[in-house]
Amino acid sequence: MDLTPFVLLIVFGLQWAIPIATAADGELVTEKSGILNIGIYGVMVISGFAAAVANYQTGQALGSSSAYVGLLAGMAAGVGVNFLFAFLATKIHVDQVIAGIGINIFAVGITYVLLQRFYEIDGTPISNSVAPLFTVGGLSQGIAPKISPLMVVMFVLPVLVYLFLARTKLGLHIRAVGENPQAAEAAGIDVVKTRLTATAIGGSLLGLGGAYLTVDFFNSFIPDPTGTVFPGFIALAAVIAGGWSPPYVLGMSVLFGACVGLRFVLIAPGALVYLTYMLPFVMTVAVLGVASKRLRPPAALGVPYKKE
Amino acid sequence: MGILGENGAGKSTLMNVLYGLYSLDSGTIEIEGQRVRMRNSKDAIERGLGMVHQAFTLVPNLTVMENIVLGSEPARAGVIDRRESRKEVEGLIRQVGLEVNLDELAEDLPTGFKQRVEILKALFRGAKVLILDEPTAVLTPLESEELFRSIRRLTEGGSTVIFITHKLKEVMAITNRITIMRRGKVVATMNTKDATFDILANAMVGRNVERKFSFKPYEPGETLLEVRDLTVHTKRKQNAVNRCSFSVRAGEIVGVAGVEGNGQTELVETIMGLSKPSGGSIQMGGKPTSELSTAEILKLSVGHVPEDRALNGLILDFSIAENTVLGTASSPSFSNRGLMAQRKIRDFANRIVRSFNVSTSGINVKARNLSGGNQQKVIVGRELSGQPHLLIAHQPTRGLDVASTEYIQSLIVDARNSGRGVLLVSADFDEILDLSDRIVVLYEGKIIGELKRGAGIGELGKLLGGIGAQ
Amino acid sequence: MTGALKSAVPSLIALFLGLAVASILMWILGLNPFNVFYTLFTGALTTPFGQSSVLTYMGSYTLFALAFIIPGKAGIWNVGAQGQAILGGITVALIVTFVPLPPIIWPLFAIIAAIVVGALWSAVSGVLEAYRNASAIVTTIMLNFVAASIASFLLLWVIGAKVKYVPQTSYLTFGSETTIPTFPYFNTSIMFIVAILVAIGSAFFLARTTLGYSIRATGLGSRPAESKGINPKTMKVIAMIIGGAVAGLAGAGDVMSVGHGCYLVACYQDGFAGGWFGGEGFAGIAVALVAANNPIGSVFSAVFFAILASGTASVGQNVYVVWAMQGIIILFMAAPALSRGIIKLGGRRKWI
Repeated sequence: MDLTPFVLLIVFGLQWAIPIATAADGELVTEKSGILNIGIYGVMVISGFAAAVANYQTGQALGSSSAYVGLLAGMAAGVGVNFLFAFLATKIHVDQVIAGIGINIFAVGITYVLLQRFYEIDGTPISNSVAPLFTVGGLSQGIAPKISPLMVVMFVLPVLVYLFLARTKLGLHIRAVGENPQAAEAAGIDVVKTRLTATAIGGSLLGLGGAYLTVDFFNSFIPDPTGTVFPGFIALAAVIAGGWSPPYVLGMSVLFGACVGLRFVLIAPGALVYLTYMLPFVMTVAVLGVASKRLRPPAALGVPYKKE
Repeated sequence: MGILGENGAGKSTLMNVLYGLYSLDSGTIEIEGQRVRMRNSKDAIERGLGMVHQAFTLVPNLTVMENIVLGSEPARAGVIDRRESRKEVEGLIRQVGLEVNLDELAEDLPTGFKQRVEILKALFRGAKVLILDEPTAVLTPLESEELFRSIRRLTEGGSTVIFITHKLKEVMAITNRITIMRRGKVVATMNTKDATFDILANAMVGRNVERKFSFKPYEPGETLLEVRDLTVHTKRKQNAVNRCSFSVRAGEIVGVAGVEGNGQTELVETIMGLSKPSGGSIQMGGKPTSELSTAEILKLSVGHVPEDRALNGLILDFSIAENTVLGTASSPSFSNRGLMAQRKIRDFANRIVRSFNVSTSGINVKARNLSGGNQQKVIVGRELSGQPHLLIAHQPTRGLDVASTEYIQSLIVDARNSGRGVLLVSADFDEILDLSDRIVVLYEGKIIGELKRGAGIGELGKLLGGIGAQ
Repeated sequence: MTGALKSAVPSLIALFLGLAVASILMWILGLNPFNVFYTLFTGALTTPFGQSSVLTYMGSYTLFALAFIIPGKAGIWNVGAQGQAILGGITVALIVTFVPLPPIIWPLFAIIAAIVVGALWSAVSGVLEAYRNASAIVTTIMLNFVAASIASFLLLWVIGAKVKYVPQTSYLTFGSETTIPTFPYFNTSIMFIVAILVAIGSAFFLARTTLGYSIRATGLGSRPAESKGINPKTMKVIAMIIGGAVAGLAGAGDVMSVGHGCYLVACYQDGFAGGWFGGEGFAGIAVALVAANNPIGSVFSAVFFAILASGTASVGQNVYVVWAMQGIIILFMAAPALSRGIIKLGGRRKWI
């Protein structure tokens, strides 16, 4: 039996899991502090754009390490946008859901505009990408599966996130603030500062996820009006379906990554592919419907914190 | 030191000021001879004050140990030093004798243990003065015993404990000195050994202006509400209502007296169908009602003035007119095949505004813009306009000015005089004593005593404080 | 009426702030904002194509705004109008392809079917939130993707099998007898009139009917309402169903209109539409917010956004500038003074 499809599925699945898992981990940290950022998608788009631009601009000068510059730029952009969002949410008490939707819409628009304005093409030209660890045969789909060093990061991150949340002062504060901000305040913790920090940290991971896509996977910035390139919502789904617990979120991310990967593997009837697009979401809705009473989001999630 | 007083006496507010949660308007706080300003609870904590609130401030998804050290974690370079934390906390536990499992999640703890964790939290921060606000409100008798033992150990160890309560037995059992507050003022301070239940009760529930209403002769008619052995368990409390039995007949006012938190809310909600009883029965006009929905119960000619007018009684962003038909908008008197009958509603609202002296520029004013008194008048007017046989009034004059209070009370008396039955649930003891034909005192979910019109303040005070007719 | 106008002031301020920031952005990018707006407005309002575009967009936007507003009145967020509309549209397409019906009957049948499908789809989220406490925000967004996925599949697999469909074009055209009547002179379908009627109907429904009253009561005060016998769960589900129905109607309208035949179909063939953030579903939310969640106001707000959209399209500038602007406006709309006044949603303490 020809094993290629399965191998491909695993490889593609893992590759796609990288941005999903990274973004999901970032969103997890943010949400643990009580801030709900529906704009994950927008943040990823903006970070991806920033990363692609940085990668491209430094390509001549730095050679292959421009890719790392790109990653850093992406992370910085992620921190910036998320921080702005958290600032609006905590200091100005904007409605987090609406602001998140605004970020999404704005991100697609602005990146496309900037793209047209400065590059006049549909995707920033390929420059250098992060050197893959090894490739697996050539493939007709056009996106040669490669195993990125970031894949290691993807597996390490949940451990780091878990340790961070469980064992550090800041992590403990974050968990407290997201669950019962009044209690945290009473214990002397600055709720606003903690949330800003958590969201900024989360933003760096969101940015990493977005940057990975433009710097490594696609090696170009693809404007994504339909929401199929940057899996922000899939990451959101992964956080929810994983019950805000790093190991489960990773599991869900890999699973969802596989769903996305199916697109590339199913060469057969074209139309069936579309059904795979919905798998992560159907699963999440099902999880919500069934386990909603047992799923435990941070209790203060999405609720603006106002001092007495 | 015990701080004794009924609801609204100001005990909690005073303590909140001390603890930095509210700011004071005048006066000073001195600690160990030094004048201090408390800007927030952090200041208070630094000065050695610790407070355990009625509503716990634990973070549910953290472990006991994490909750205790929250905010003052022993740490190195940002990473929590778990061994050190454990050592310190265990040391503290040994010292104080409050055993608790450090690794359990706070949300899984029974209430008594949650309170222990709160106390440990305060002590961990070096509190030398511990303020406990109505600590036994959520404890079982056994847990209360253990709490007292711990308090004794604490005071023996040199800590000071301020014990806020309305329960006379407790204050006599555990304190060295007692300060009694009433309506925001301190009315007495004494050594516990000089106090008796009578002295305390009288001081705590002193009478104010006695209002005079004219009551028709007391000739109660048919039984409108019959509650038998009613028991209600809630998520927070077993036996929030504990085998209560009483009845309300036409032409009488039955007052349910009690300091808030003794089961009144659960009682009223269950009678109105918003909660389901765990045992016992409720009958209205002979029909059992525990399985009925709120809408169905309302249709049985019951009026309900809820406890919190802003939260439960009125929709603040609706106009007066819209509020008057809440619940009745679909009835034939106000609607026609699904459409709201605007003119009928307008007339109705205008009638209520006129008949019940609601001071407003019009019926299209949003309820939010009315004063508390006027809001309450709208609610009472709405309920009475339905000509209910049974009226349930829950804290009907709470937070109202004198004029509105008197007016609402007169409406209640009128209702009684015109043959309706009124269940008056109130923490305002003047109100209870002035209005009720019969009084039933609720304490820790049980009815611990009954009084008739003309009962003395001392008798009521003792019952409120938990000293029942044994 | 003046009350409604008064509550429009904060949204108008936000609108202008948003436009101002967008203008600054344009200026930074080397565009002349005044130029841009001028070309936009003239393009939209003076050319016949522009005018008909405005009306068409306006109809869609109004309906999508209503799909957000009505559930919002009950305190439930419907971010799923996009998906509900997509399913409505595909329902029409399916009927056209497989169900032969006489000329007058079939459009009515198709529209009703689309409405029902949209309503059922939104009902899922409604029930999940009311009875399982699963946040509607999340489920509606997720279901958008699911809806688009199903629709794409059906389009290509099922319909594509039966009808000659050339993937390169963006249209799956149905033939002239399958479109809705057009409005003379403007060369646009009558959907915009339908939209206005629905807006008026919604306003009437909310303000004058007992059901509308109960829905509003649930949104503004679910506890007092409950204590007086109104069942908030039922009301939320009903409001969602109505919202979904309106969205389904919008989807059907889009698909069946002349010239605009296939916004949504364009998405389908494009490899798939998930978020389609430029999609009218999300724009509908912006329209609703600017209208302070007022049904009649949404018509006017829709006109404004329609001008923006139509102008950019007819001028040739890419639509994305408009998106960016919409995003900025939404961000401004999220400010609390506005949100509190505009959106009285019941406490979102139980998030999921």
